[in-house]
Amino acid sequence: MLNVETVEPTRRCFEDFYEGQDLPVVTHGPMMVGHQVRWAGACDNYESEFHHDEYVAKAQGLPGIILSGPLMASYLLTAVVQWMGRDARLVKFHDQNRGSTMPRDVAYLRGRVKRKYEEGGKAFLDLECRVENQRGEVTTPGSAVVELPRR
Amino acid sequence: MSETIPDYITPEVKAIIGAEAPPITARHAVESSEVRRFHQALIDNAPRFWDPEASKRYGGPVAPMGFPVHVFRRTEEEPDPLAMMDQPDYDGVDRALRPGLPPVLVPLKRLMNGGYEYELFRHARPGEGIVLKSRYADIYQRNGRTGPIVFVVIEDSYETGAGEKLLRSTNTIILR
Repeated sequence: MLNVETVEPTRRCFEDFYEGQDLPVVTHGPMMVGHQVRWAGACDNYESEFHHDEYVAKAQGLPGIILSGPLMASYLLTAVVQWMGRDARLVKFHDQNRGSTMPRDVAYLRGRVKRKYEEGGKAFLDLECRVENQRGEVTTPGSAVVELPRR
Repeated sequence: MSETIPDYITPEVKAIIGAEAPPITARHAVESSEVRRFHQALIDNAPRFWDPEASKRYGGPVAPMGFPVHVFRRTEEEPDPLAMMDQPDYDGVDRALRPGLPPVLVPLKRLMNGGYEYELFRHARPGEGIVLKSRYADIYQRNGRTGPIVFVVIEDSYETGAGEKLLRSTNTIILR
């Protein structure tokens, strides 16, 4: 079992992973408007009122406040870094904002090793990853390519 | 009766595909307090972001990998976007999708961030300047069940002031 820490991740190597391996689920939430406000402050980006004002969000035809897609994607990128360990090098990361995360939703960050391979003498993993809510809806599908050290 | 679907990829819109912005330097060099706010917003307290001892192998504390994308803060010369909120048609959404790029003048009201594809080179460090070069790689329309959707594909390259690559991003913006 791999543990996900909120401190510097453990060193993990190419040999620690196998194709089809499920990575430990990281849970965030229930998500609150406060998470969004903290993200807006970190990015100095307050222009999209629908991210923090329910009245405006509904007036724009949304069901309510929507949390920022890049925030959810950044959580996912962070989970990839933690899954892969302190000496991994994140080469590529991709995310798609397919669904909305709203206040009081729970975000489950899931990942799986899709492919394990060597190229040019270096060791890589291709990962599938996603943010899923408590209803099992995938809001943010993603993928990553990671270079790992060998043992 | 079938309605004619408007073609929003007008000659004016086509003309800005490939447009490049001049290099834009972030408002200020990376500051450790903004790195702290950023990693705390990501719920990631890894010592590489704040502990000089734990971050020795990076040459000192570093910023999270995605940080450069979010550091282009408003300068003193730029207008306050919140000051425009009293205009009845203002929705807080700016059609000038990057500083220095022309606005995408498509009369669709909703704007969504479709996602990113990152190629990552290294962490930015406090004290480093960050320079952004942006370009409209493509603008195209798809007609879905809910109506026309315009996709704006923006390539962004983030480098240090010394020209070292930090991150390359392809961002898709959706107008509908």
